[in-house]
Amino acid sequence: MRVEDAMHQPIREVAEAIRTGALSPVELTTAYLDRIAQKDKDLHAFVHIASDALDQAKLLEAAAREGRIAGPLHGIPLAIKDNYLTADMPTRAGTEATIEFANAEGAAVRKLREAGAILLGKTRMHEFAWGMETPPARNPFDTDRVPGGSSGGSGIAVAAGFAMAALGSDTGGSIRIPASLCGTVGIKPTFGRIGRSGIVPHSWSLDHAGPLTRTVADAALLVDIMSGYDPADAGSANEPPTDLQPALTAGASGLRVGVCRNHFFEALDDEVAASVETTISSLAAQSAEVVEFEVPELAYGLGAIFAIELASSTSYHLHHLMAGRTSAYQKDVRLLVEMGRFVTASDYLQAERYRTMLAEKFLPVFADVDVVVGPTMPLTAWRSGQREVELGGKRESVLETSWRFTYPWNLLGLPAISLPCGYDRNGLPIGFQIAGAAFDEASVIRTAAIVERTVKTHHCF
Amino acid sequence: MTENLMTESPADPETLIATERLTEVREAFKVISREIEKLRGLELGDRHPAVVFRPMRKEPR
Repeated sequence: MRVEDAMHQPIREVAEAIRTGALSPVELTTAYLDRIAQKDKDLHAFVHIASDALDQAKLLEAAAREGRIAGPLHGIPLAIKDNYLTADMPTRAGTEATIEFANAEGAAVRKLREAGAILLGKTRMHEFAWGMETPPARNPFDTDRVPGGSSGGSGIAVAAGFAMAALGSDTGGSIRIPASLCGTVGIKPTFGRIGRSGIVPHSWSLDHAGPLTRTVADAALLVDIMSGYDPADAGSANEPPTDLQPALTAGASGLRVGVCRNHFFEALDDEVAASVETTISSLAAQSAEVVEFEVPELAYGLGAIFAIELASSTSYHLHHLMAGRTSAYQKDVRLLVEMGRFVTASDYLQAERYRTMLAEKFLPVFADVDVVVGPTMPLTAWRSGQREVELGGKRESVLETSWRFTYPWNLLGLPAISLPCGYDRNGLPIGFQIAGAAFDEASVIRTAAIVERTVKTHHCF
Repeated sequence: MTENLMTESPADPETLIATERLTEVREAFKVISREIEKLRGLELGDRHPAVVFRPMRKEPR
């Protein structure tokens, strides 16, 4: 297998080529490092490149030659978001403040290493995962535009062909937003499905770990590898690892697709709306049953996620706030951390009680449908520095707009994926979001695989 | 960071925010506060919060 071809092949096929000696992981890693050196000066996806990336590749190549295969990622180069602690690379969680993070590793990174992955480096993120722009990173489809966030560097790394896949984290949309804006696949499984030990917290009850990938099959594979009980994460679900491979070919027959017409279709760009409606029609044409419904209680969601995210984040940063270290945070993040001091305890608990109510409202929904689909975001990538957007006659900040359709699935803790369903007149990717019932990632992957087969995906490499 | 620490006014003891920034932060919070106010009016009956405390089991000897 030629290295250039490998960069466009599913991970399973690349890993098989490495196992059989048809592809050198050293040559593959070298090609990625060369591309990063050549192109990342304009995109700013990485904050750190592993000095031992080639050494990792050489060891894995020698092991493969001797028939010692570590696992399904043997020799596969991956990128890691900068809020995952790593033993051999520095962690900054996107901040320049003088805060030290441990040289340790949690469940997700450990499982990748055990599966044989090569860790290429750490990707840029919005500081402390508290934002959707990831400055100064740029979108590979148009370098005048943002890649999204907070896992912006991971979205770029996948879209620009700097790694076979990358890790992200998602508190209100931070995997799915960069996936949508950079035209990649990005999944946050059910809350607790992938252990979060070794990830710098943002908001304990909302944080999810997950991958950004080129394909749905790669997303399924990485969730299979990283999922499972993590005793070091208080929110971890005591569930066995997933087996999502059969879902990739399950097809649309008998699939029940829900479309929530309130909230998820309000005030969105015309081209995004058209592309999403075409995709829903395509699912119906492939014999999926489409069921429309509404959940009026979603109207209270923004207040709830603000109360929980602000209060939780500020609690995490409280000792830094008291010590004056937050004055070294970026202006926007410092403001959010300080605003969290105004959320009262009763408001926080009201928000957590609201989550119980919202979960109750979605139980009968998922009794009738396998998945709920819609746009990942109301818009495509906006220009760096742009502060507001007008959609459906409503003017609002791009930041408020950007997470409107993603945060409900964090409040609910349900699995949700974003994948491209089309491109707008500027060639910018449009994201399609698919959510499922708790621990039913299989239906999410099944539907995503069907959608993926109907879309000609563009990459920037 | 050191420069900021030296030039900033003392923190408000209740909010821990530098007094010179309090007005700006309060102003920025108003938009969010309106959303939280909506939530306050929602009747949630006897529903418990989604986040609950779980006692830790002792390790087996």
